[in-house]
Amino acid sequence: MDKYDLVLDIIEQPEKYPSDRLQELLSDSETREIYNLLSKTDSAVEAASIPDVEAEWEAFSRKHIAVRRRRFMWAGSRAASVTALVLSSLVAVAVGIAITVKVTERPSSPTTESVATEKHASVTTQVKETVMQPQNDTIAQTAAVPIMFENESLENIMAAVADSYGVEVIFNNKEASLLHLYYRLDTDLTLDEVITQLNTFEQINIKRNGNILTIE
Amino acid sequence: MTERNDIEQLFKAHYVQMHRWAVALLHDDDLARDIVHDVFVSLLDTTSDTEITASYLLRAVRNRCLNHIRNCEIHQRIACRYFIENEEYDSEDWPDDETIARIYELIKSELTPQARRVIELRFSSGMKFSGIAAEMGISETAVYRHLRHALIIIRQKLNQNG
Repeated sequence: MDKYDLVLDIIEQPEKYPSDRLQELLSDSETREIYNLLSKTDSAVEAASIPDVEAEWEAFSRKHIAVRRRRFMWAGSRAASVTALVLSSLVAVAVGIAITVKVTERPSSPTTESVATEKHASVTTQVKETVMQPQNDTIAQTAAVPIMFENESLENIMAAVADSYGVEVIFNNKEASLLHLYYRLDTDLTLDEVITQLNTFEQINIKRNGNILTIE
Repeated sequence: MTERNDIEQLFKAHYVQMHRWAVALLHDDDLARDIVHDVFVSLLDTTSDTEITASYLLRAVRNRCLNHIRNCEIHQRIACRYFIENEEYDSEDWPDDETIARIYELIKSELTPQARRVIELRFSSGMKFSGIAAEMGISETAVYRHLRHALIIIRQKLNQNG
């Protein structure tokens, strides 16, 4: 049995040889040279296949860079974006009004409440007519600055959500925490609204249980 | 934070070579792909502004592959056809594209089609000699002789050119 035979036998039936015997046999320089050459031949043959780069990029970006579900293409639909603007102005106004009332009225609960609802009702009608005009001064006092996330990991975004809303975040799906997305966190919105927004992303599935958010 | 477009550009420009290196080291297509993908995932999280070059990416691939191999004991190394000692990867400066290309050329030009087929089945498909014999309709001894002859030729030709 020459050294070529030996190397071929070793790779074909390695279980025949105990570890120290293998070390011994392969410490011979010629045997080692032939074994290494066999290893490199293996590399050359396997490295010859060329991967489909486009397909690999598709797979990679699908998995790690989140994409919004098609039916929520805000940018695409005019009606949708107008609705979005109206909704957020309504919310902003309502928030503004509620807080303004709190500031100006004495804290004698029953009266304040009824006044607040009345005011709210009248303002709501106002807003319906003049859609694009939120009360700017109250908004300036109360609106929080939205946080822009550019290609940020979901892990970091959820940390910000946790801080802003005082909730706990648990990732049951580790892969989801690695997702990177472009997202605008508007803390004027309620937590449920934020969760709904994030759930429009294909790979994100957040469940709320009181003050605990779980990402599945 | 590396932007999505930058990642896409880097990915498309360097994926092929990174994959080739990973496969040359690990002899496993799936594992190689995982490692290359992992390197790009790590780019998504970097905050540094250092320019990402080809050599940076290749070094990252190589390091991850060698980490994988580092802990293999001798039977695992032989099963996967890895070098026996970790230092050999550095002393050979492996993988080196030139040697890979040369061996591949030799396989194509100096071997018989049968010998080529045996090498493909043994290394790309991981078949045992008995399986190869059945597949090719030849005896196991013939399979063995083809592979042995191939090794002799490749070794001879490689050493010839220094």
